[in-house]
Amino acid sequence: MTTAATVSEVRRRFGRTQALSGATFEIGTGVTGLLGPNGAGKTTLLRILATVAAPDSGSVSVFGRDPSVASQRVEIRRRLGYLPQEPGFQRGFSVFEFIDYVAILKEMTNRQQRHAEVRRVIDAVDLASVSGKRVRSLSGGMRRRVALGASLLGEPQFLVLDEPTAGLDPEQRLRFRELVSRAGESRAVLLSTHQTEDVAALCQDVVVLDKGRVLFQGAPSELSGVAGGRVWLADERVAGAELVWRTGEGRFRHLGAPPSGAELVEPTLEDGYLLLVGRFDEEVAA
Amino acid sequence: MSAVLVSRTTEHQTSGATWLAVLELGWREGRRMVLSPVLLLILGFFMFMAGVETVVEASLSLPSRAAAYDFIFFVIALYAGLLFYIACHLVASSSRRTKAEAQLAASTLSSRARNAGLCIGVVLGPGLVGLVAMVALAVLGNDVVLGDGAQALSIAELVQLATTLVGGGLFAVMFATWLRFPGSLPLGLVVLIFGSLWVLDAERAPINTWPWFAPYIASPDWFDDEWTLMGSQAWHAVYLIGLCALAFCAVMLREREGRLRWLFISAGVLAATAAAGSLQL
Repeated sequence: MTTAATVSEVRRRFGRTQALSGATFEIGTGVTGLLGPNGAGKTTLLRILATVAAPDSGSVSVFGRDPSVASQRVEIRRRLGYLPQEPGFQRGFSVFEFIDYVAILKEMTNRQQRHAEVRRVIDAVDLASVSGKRVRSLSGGMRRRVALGASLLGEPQFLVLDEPTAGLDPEQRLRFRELVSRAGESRAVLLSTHQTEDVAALCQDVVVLDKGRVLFQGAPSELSGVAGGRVWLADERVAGAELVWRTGEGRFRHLGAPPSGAELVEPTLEDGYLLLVGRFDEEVAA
Repeated sequence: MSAVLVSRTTEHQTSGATWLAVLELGWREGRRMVLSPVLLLILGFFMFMAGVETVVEASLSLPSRAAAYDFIFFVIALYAGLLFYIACHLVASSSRRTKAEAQLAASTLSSRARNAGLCIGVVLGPGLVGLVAMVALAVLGNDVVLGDGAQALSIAELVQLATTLVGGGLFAVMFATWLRFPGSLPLGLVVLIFGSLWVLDAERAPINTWPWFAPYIASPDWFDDEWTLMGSQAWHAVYLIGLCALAFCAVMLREREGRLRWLFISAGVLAATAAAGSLQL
C-alpha cells in the first residue's frame, strides 16, 4: 500500500470548540472509510486534507507535499478531487455548465478535451439525461451526483468524499459503490460516512474519529473484531446490555457483556463501531 | 491504469495552463455578467422606456440620430455602470451566497486567480458592451443633441464611457471579495452613489477641482456650469482607468499570500492615478 496522505498530531479549534485534538493517521491507496459520530471532527479533517482549511498545529502531507506551502498546495490540488458535505451550486448553471466550470478551475483549458471529460464524468454519475437541466431544479440526490461528478474530473489520484451517499436512493448507492470501488483500485479514496454498510462493502481500511481524536485505524474486520464475543441474540430484552434493538426477525440483538449461556453471534462492523465509540464516550465522561 | 491517470491529470496542466484557465474563466464570468437576469430585466425596462421616448421624439420631429444618441448615451452610459455593478456583484458573490465555495476552493486555481478571472470577466463582458457603445457613439456623433456650438464627444470622452462600465464591474468585484456578508451589494452601491455625489458637489470650493475626481464621465452635458471645460478630458480618462486599476489591485490584495508584491504594485498605481488626477485639472 502506497501512502497517499499522512496526518500527524493535527489540531484545529473553532472558538471554544476543539474540532481536532491531535489526530494522527495515514491514508494509502484503496478506499479508506472515516467513521465517527456527529461533531467528531470528520468534516474539519476532510477540509484540511482537501487543502481548503489549515490546521492550527500538527502536520499534513499529501503525496509527500506540504499543503501549507502555496506551490506544493497547487500540486496537491492538481491530483485531488473533493466532494464537500454540503455542495452548493451557483444559480443558472446547467449540470454540464457547472461541471465544465469546475473543469476550468482545474486548469483544463483545451475545450474539446475538457468537454469530453465533462461528458465522461456525467456518464459516470448517470446524469446524461439531465445534463442540460439547471442544477438547482434537480432533486437533492441528483445534485449530490453532480457534485460527485465534479470531484471525479481528471481522474484525481486522491478523492476526498464527505458523506457522498447522503440522499442517494439504493440503486444509486450501489452505483456509487461501483464507482468508488473502481477508483480505489489504483488511487486513494477517503470516504467519510455514517453508513457503516458502505464502509464494510467498500473500504480496505477504516479510521474511527471521535471528539477530534483517532480511536481506531485498521481493517474493517478488525473493527468488527472489537465487538467479538459481545454481541448476542435473545428472545427478550435483557437488562445490562449497552445497546439493544429488535431485529426484523423479532429477536433482540444485544451489545455489551453477554450473560452466561447467551447465543453469541458474529459481530458486524457497526457493532464494533458502536461499542468502540460508546466505550470512548464513557471514558471521556468518567 | 495509473499511466492513464497521470496523462489525464497532466495533459491540460502545463506551465501556461493557469493563465489560460484564468482567461477562459474570465470569458465565462464575463458572459455571466452580461447575461445576468437582473441586468437583462432592468436593461429591458430601460430599453422599453427609451423606445417610448424615441417614439415621442419622433412624433416631435426630432432627428432620428438624436433619439438614437439619447438611447445609447443615457441608457448605456448613465445607467449601465450601476446595472453592471449589480450584475457583477451578483456573479462575484455567487459562490459565497450559494455555498459553493468549499468545492471551488479545492480547485487548482487559487482564490486570487479566480478573483483575477472575475476582473477579466468585467473587461470582457461589460467592457465589451462599453466598447460597442463607444463605437456606436463615435459613428452617431453627438452634435445634434448638444445643440448649437457643441462639439462632438472626443475619443477621450468615449473612453471614459467604456471605463465607467468596467469601473462599475470592478468596484462590484472589489466589494464582493472584501465585504463577504449579505448586504454588501447595497452597501457598496450606497458608497459608490453617495461618494460620487459628494465629490460631484460643485458647490464645494474649489469649484473647478472636486467634480473631476468623480468616478464618472466629465462631460459638459452634465452640468450647467462651465467648469468641465477647464480640465483635460484625456487625463480624466487616464484617471478613470487608474481607478479601475486600483479596484483591481484591491481585489488582488484580498489574499494574504503574495500580498507584499501587490502592495508595491498598488502603491505604484495609486501614484499614477493621483498624478493623472492632478493633471486633469
